[in-house]
Amino acid sequence: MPALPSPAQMPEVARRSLLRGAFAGAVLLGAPALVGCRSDAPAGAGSLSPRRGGNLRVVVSGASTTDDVLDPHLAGSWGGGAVAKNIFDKLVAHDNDLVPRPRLAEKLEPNADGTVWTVRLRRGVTWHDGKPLTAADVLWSVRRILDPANKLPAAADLAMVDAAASRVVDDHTVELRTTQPMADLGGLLAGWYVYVVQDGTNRFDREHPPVGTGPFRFDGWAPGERTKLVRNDRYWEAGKPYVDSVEIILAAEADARLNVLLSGQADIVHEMSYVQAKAEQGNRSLTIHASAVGTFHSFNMFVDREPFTDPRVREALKLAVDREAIVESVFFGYGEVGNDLYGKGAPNYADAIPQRVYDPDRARALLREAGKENLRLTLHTADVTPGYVQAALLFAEHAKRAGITIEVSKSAADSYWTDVYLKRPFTQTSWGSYALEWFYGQALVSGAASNETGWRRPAWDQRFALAMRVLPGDAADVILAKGAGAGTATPAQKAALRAELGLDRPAVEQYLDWMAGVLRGDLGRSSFSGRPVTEIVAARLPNTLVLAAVATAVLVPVAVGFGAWAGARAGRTRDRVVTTVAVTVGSLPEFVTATLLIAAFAFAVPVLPAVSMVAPGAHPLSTPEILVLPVVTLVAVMAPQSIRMVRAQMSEVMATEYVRMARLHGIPERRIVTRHALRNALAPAMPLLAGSVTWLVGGIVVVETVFNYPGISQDLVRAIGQRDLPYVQSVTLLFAAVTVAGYLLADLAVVALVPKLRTAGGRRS
Amino acid sequence: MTRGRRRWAGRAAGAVAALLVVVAVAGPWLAPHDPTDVVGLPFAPPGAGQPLGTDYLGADVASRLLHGGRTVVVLALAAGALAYLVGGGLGLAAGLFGRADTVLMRPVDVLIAVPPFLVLAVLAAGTGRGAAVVVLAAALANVPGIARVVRAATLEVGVRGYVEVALARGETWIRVAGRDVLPNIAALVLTDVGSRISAMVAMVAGANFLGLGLQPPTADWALMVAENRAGLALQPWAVLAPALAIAVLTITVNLGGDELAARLRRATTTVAA
Repeated sequence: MPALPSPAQMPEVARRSLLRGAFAGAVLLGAPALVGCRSDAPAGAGSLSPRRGGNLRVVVSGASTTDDVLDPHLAGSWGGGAVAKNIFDKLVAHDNDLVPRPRLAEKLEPNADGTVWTVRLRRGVTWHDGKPLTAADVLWSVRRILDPANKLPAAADLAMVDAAASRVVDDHTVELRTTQPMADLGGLLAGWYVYVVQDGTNRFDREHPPVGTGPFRFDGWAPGERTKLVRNDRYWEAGKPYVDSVEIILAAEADARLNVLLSGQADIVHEMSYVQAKAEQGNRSLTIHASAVGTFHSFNMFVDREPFTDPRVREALKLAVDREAIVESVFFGYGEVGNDLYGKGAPNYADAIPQRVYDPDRARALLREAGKENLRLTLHTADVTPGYVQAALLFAEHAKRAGITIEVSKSAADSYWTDVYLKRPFTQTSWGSYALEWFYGQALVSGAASNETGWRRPAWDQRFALAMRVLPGDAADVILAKGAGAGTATPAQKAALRAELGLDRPAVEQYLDWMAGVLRGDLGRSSFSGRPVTEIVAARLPNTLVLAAVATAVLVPVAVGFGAWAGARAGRTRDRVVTTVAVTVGSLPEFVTATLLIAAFAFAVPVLPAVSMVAPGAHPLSTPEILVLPVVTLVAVMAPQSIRMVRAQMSEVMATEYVRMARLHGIPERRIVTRHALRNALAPAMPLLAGSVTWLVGGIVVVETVFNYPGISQDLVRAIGQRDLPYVQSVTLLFAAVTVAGYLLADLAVVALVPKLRTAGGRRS
Repeated sequence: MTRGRRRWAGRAAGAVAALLVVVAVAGPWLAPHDPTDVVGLPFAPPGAGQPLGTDYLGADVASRLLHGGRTVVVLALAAGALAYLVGGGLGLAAGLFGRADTVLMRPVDVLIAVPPFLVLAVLAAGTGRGAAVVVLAAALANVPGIARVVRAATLEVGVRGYVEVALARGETWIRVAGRDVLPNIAALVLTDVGSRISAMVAMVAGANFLGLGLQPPTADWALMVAENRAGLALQPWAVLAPALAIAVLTITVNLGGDELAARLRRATTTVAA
């Protein structure tokens, strides 16, 4: 199978005991990452012997439209990583057996003190456009990553490389200099973002499709939805890749991802939740792979912030959590308890420290000693990784027995890494399996990018720096993995962006600026991602409009038909049946109707998909079955009101003199209804029908959310939680425009229906 | 006979609605477990001690169901009270004072054309998510309709003259509104109280479902549907029980409200006759 991001890889590196040590601020748990494969997937995704050919579709946990980028030096999400890994190559990278191997580099040779590294490139590697790979490409990539003006998160990976002093030796040799002695440059070069891009390239988007040296060429991209890749026939690694093409499909939520797989729209699903793994255990069409090494989940306390400055308080909290219970209920047993230090299973991990167990009484005693009885805390969490919220809620439950009140504050998933993590004193994170020193450098030195426990001890920093310098010299093939995304550098990058966007200015000023922009046809930039709102909206709006149009096209005949049918016989049985059913169905909130429909038609009698995915570049109408449940929900919510309006007008018209007159003339009842009454009943009902468009707006947001339909709602709900005002304002403006257009259409329809309004000056006075 | 059957249906709906409200309010005292207590493995099927099984955290679904109605009922009633207070006040003032009419009713006319979800979106984006935002948005969605009906009804009684007489006597307008106008327009104004409250329940629940209102671990029917959706295949009761509870509540409040309005009308007509 092609190189997928291996979750949480385990380094095979022996390290020295100097780095052994516990750290103070976290409670840890370990759990594996889960991947599911359909048994009929190509290239042996479900079996052991690889087959050639075919199209492999992988659904990966991905971010929203705003975060999906093609720039390999910027793509921090799992989805972005999967794309980058298949289009580009690194100089050094991990193989599927978790052992680091040279890739574009053939050899890394350090000088005596590890400050000058000679990188010898593999020969015969060509770019997708046919140009040969040269040393200039490598130097350009390193400089691009490190250029402060680019503000790339990858810069953190290569921080120790001195870009200015590095140079090209010949076409296939680069000399990289480091700012301080480095024992393992290879570890840095295998970093998450450290891909080699072509000399001179700075833009990666639809107008500038990415050109790499990787096993697959770029073929198509629907931002936030999927990326299509095709086989690179000139790939340097003999016999690879196995499959002809790869589709990387993004879905942010675990159940959406699994549904994509189960509905046959993908062959591999990445990051299953533990609940899903349990539920699908007996499913023969699916094989679940748990990675050999896992992810560490931790609750972090800022040791430099009250009340965590007191070690007794920290210890009390470590004793107040029942880890066994969390492993059992959150990870469904797919995991094991961790002790209060990072790196269980890693070389040089301090196994000798006894495992801390749940002891609420001891915790209570410690708090009493510290004078902190009845401690109240806020634990910040978000639904960013399966199990976070559940684990937090369980911690709060367990802590109650120690007299600790933990209030669990759930923030928006999209802003957790930027606004909450590293900003609040009590949070959650996960780390893949890294070598201890890599983790320490990322999280446990004073200036670390992810110093999530506020651990700032100059003496410790010195010891750490010393340790890094005296590491063994034979490090060329010694690689430290950067595994699962704890979103390390992204927060800092985003914080800078926020400042750049001027979010500190008064709200009124921002609003006026935005309005001025709107008048010029510019909807502004999302205050979250910084991308133009027009661009974000344009990617998804057509799908929303299609859904709205289909719903309206079904709604109008249903409303007019049933309304007229019932109104023509007001008071009779059929009128009462229609009215009662309308009231009953119309009372339900959209999400209840949708949930009941999904339970009935996607699970009880599985005839329709529970999730509405749309292929990239494809029209939602090309797979009409995905529209059925969303449209039925929308019509069920809106039709009752419209039916009642039409019915009321119809029954009024049927009681008029001219209808009675027509009956006396012997005109058949059917003709009276269709030829005479209906037109006159519809004219006053039209504006009311248009009024129900106002309800369509709310309904469509809920329906798109429930069905994971790729309209603008996912972004909108995110933006509301994010308080991304430019985005919310713009979409509001759009919706308002649609509403006005609805009223206008209704007015035109009235004119068409009532001939006397058509003559000049014929408006009713 | 038909009318009798219909009245019986209305009464039954009213009774079920009342029962649900009582259960929703008193539920927390009836629940066997704390709503956040973990009583078993997550998404365990119904069994002894857990008649509806457990939810995504392993909490008892039945207990959360008994706890989770209170927020739905209280938030919807708060929205209803606010909507009738503000809408009624606006309508009365516009109906009683010709000069205030345009000033008060123009904004109302604009608001009536604004999709209620947009009001919610703008409020939540502007001030942050929370129960207050949801209540305010649900109330605002109903203010224009109520104001219009109250205004129209007030104009109707206004021309009868006795309001003018009372005002001329020097009584305050609040007193006139409360003593003379309100009793006379109540039946008319409350005609659609059932569907309005039902719609507010739906809107509050929908906003909570989207995560714009209450946040976990609050036990709330709409939140229960949202947070247990992942387990629909594994433990359908965790999703279906709260979804059906909301469904029955909205339907019976709507139908029961119609019955209440019909009774009010009959009472008023009898007095007038």
